Amino acid sequence: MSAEAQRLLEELGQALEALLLAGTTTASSATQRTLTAAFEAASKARFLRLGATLRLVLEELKRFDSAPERFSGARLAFFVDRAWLLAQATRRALAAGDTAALERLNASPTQVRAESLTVATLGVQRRYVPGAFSAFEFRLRLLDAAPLADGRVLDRGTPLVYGMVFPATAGGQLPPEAMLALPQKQGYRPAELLEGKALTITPALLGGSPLRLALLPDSRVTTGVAVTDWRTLAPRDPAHWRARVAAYRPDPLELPIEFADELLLEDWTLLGDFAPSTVPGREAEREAPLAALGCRFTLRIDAEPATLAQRLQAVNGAQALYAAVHLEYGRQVLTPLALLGESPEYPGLDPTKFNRTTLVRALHASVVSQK
Amino acid sequence: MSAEARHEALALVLTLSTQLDALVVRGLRATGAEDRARLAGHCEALKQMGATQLAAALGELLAAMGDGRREAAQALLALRARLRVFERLLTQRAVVAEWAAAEAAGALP
Repeated sequence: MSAEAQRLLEELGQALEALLLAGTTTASSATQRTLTAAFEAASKARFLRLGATLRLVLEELKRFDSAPERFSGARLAFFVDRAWLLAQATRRALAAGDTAALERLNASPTQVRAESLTVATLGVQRRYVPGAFSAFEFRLRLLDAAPLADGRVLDRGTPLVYGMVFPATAGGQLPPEAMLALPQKQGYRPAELLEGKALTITPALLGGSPLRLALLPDSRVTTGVAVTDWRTLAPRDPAHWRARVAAYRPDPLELPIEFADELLLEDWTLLGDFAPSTVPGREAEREAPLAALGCRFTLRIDAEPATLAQRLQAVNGAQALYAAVHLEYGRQVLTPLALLGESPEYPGLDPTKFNRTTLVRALHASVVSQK
Repeated sequence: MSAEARHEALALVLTLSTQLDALVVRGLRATGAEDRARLAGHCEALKQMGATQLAAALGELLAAMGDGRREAAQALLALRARLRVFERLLTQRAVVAEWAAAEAAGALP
């Protein structure tokens, strides 16, 4: 296994270097075949992070040929870098028999089982890349203390993240929000996460930092009573983020958004209109300067839905803004998760598009257009 | 490093990153004299701001590209990794300074 893995990683490194020398346009089909084979072998060998990174490289190369308007050179370059660094570091760790380094490089955090979790959705972020995927990241809060199988007990208010990704092949012509109306095997529709009610999940797996929630095939999600004390669940102290920034140690494998936190901004003001981002790879998104806590932030949103920018400009500080925050090119970049009054409003989603009627209509239109 | 110098350094990092992204797409073998001249200009600017390790990494890339060596690919990857870490460090310092200024102004809760 080790010799085979070493050979795989060496060939992969060479294929990535060949890609850089030849360029995307003239990359030989042999190089692309090697990358595809390496992706399959890496996944089989349980090099999950490397496998996932190679999948992104291959998707971007495919996009270069089939949908150049959606291709991003910055994205391709980043994932080629990451794949090469992972391959080199994994090869060295294998040669040295360094299992701790291998675990770190694979970034596959241990998951622990919780028999029951009661949560509420404080915010949600939508990412929509036409022709690629729709993704939703639900920012949950634990409503009751929860014991874990390893003996730890999570306190009420503990933040959890639950992500759902819908590939474009499944989305077709549907608006991204329509995916939230699809029934899941655990007996719920994702739209139910947005009804302001307590949700009980039995059982679930948790792992990583922040804790990411994973449902099991036999998990069940049931809706409970309306939550009323949202304010007690929101992040209170920006000092936590400030301290993390001060202690931050950069990692060349890390995407900027992978070092992130959450802020609740009670007083905030937009200092200008939304305009297309100038950051490489982010050109499809829009940004506006925002003042809060004596700092100048950048508020970044997807271009769609158009109602999001309008809503944020209309509110402009009249309601608290609950947002994710990360660092990028000298700035603190915010991504809105919710506007928080008595209860959360999720401005990144169009509520008219995630009901069953919209889903059925969109599916019907999609079927008709394919005939 | 002053806030102004940091701002200039971040602008240079963004420009250089964008040029290196373009090299990845076009391929190192397709680079011409104009590309190399621009990179050499960035190399000089990095030296002047004291980012000597980054300047050395860029110098290695330029040398390997000039000789048409296969090692240019590894030099590009090594440079990009260092550039990303440099950007993160500059950003961290900028944001730490911004929070300190906010605290000094009494803007924090």
